[in-house]
Amino acid sequence: MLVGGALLLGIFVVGVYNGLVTLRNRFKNAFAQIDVQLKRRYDLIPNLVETCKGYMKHESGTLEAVIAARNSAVSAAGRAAANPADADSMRQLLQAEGQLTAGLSRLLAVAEAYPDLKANTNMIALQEELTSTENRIAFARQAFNDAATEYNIKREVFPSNLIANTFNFTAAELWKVENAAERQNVKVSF
Amino acid sequence: MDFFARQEAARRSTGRLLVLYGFAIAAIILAVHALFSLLTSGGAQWFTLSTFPVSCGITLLVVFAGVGVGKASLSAGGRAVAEMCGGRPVEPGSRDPAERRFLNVVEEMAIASGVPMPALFVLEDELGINAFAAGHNTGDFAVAVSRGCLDQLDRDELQGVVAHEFSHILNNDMRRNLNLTGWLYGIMGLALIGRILFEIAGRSGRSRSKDSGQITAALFLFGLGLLLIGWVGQFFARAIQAAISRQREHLADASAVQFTRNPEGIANALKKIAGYPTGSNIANPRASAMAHMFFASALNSLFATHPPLEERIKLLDPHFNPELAQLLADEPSRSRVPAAASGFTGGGPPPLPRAAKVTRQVGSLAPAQINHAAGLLAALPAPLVAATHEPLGASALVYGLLLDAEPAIRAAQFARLQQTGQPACLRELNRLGPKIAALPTGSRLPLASLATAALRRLSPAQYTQFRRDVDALIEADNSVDLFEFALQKNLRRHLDPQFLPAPARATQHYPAAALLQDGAVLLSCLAHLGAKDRTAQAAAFQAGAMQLGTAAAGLRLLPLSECNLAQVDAALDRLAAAAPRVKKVVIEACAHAVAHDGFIHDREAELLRAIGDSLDCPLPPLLQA
Repeated sequence: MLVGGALLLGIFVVGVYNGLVTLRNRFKNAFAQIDVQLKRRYDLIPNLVETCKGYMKHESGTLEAVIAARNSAVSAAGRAAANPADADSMRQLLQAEGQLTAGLSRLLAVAEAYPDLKANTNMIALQEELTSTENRIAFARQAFNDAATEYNIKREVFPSNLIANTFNFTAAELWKVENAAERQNVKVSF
Repeated sequence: MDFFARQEAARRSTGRLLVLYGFAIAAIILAVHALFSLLTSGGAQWFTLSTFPVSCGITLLVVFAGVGVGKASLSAGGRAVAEMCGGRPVEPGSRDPAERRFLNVVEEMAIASGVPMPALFVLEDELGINAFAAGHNTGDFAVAVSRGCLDQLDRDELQGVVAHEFSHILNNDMRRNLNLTGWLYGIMGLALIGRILFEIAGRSGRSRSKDSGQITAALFLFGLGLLLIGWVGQFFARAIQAAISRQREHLADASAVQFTRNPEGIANALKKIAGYPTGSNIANPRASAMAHMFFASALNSLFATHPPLEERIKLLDPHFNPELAQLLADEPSRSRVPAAASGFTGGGPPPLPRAAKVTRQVGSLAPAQINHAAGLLAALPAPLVAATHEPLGASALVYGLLLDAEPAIRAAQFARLQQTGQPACLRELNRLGPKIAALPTGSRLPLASLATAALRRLSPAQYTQFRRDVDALIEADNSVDLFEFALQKNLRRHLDPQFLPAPARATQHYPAAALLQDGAVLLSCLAHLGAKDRTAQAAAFQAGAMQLGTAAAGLRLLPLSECNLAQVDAALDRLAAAAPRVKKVVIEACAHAVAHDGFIHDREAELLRAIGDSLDCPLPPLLQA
């Protein structure tokens, strides 16, 4: 009887532990989806800045700020991709991404004042690419948050929380962005 | 042996195997009971009838619990198995050159064989050259390769390895593996308990009172006995597993050559393993239970699940000299013109098949089809192919394929998407829409099938939304056309198993009469699609019905109202659970009905492929006239 009980308990603990590991791997893997798109965005930004440089002679401060924000986001993304379960590096990436997004929107707002730049085909293509990459990031972020939430719930409910605490399964950091623009309706144009 | 015969053989051998295991379990029960009797009677009696039901019950309980755990861990599907072995999913949009090449090779193979794009994984920490396939059917199938495999093999060699894994899927080796591994777990459970008892007894033996001494000793002996029985059981189980597995490997090697018509590719991959210091070793501890799934032996042990490398290479390449292997491994990999880069300038698709040939093509591949697939891929607009590589683009692409040509209906469809609040998706759809509208009919389904890889990366919540949206778009015009039917069927079959787990259905043996009626529904629908006037329809129907055997003599062409797509759907659901032999006859009959007028229309081809896909008999896209 005793042996049977111990055996059942053992099987249960192993099952819950494996379940937690699976969910953790799943949200870590879901981060790869975001990472692919983030990298694409980081690659586009130097081109964008290079294109703008020719027109915006007096805005070197804005341009440099974007490049600086991009570089710090690149290194933060590298750290977060190495271990997406690490809440600290995730928060740093979120912060760096926030700065980069702010810098980019400043740059694009300033670019509005240069009609020649706005008409540049290279600029149009880059802006289009940038927007669609941001859409993909938003979508991938949703998938990541879903997976991370599933894991967080599992590690908080009874009885799996006992095992999560014993074996040090830390909470996953969600990627929260409050962006009004994303919620807007889209006009269909074809 | 064609696809159906191989599937049938796979089922039969699984049955034989279960009988064999049955004997093994009976022997184990008797052995455990003998052990128990000896210990309780102080060595006087081998068999006590009074305690037999109890000991028998407990042993069975342990074994079946083990089988349950083993099967549950594998029946979770290809993706779960790959994750369990430490696999990292390959992003369909990855820009890493080695991963890109792997993705391209698999994409070509998937289009060519009519199997949807499997989920791909890399075993990042494994430096040996190895690979495996997992999953129950073509719907939840995953291919994993080791890092060593990506880094060390050239394109032809990788193609050989991928073809080998595809053949495991097409030969239904996965079902067999599931049973083998499940039963192995059962016997391992017994040894595990023995070991636990042994250790408990050993520990309490150190700090005991006089009284408990005897119990401890008995426990110790009992544990030791169980451990031994478990070991012996495992010994035989593994031996059986290994013997069967070796046969399957030879078959998969042969099929890989048949698929690619390039014995050099797979032979060179094997030679590289032979000459490579880490060979095909896999370090992950979970690999041992899955040894038989790998491309080459994952472990160096007495119970090799794979034939010796030298033997496999010799079968592929009779001139092989093992001493050259070392030289070959040192030589930098020769650059050959990759199959895709050589282009597809040879003109149209491969020749139109005759009806009799169709069943032979099920679950099979020829180089012409791989070339055709590479050509088809190259001809697709680049932004659309890029869209199939990430989840957002893939969803938007599927929405785009379902948009109606009628502006009013299309507006309703947009309104519906607007309502569900997927702005990112709509923006993507705006971008891709015009390109999707310009697609030729023949590349629409293959494109959707490519997108399944990225759609697997949706979260469950996103998939639920996606599935609802797809249904709503299809129903917007209050009718389901053939393309919509085929697309919906395809998506559900290949994505539902991952997101909405349902137990695998067992083979059903419906009375032949019920299935005949289902056959008549399929044939009537095909006849209505392919021929305009009534006599031609009846003739096409009869041509098909003849194949169903003498019992089908009474079947008549059904009016259009009795063979609409809803009825076809229901008929396919019943036929999907039929035995391979029945499926073969049905597909043969359908092929005859379609080819009766000597001409295969796009629409007929589309339905024929949807039928094949629903019955788990992937048809290569040979039929585009």
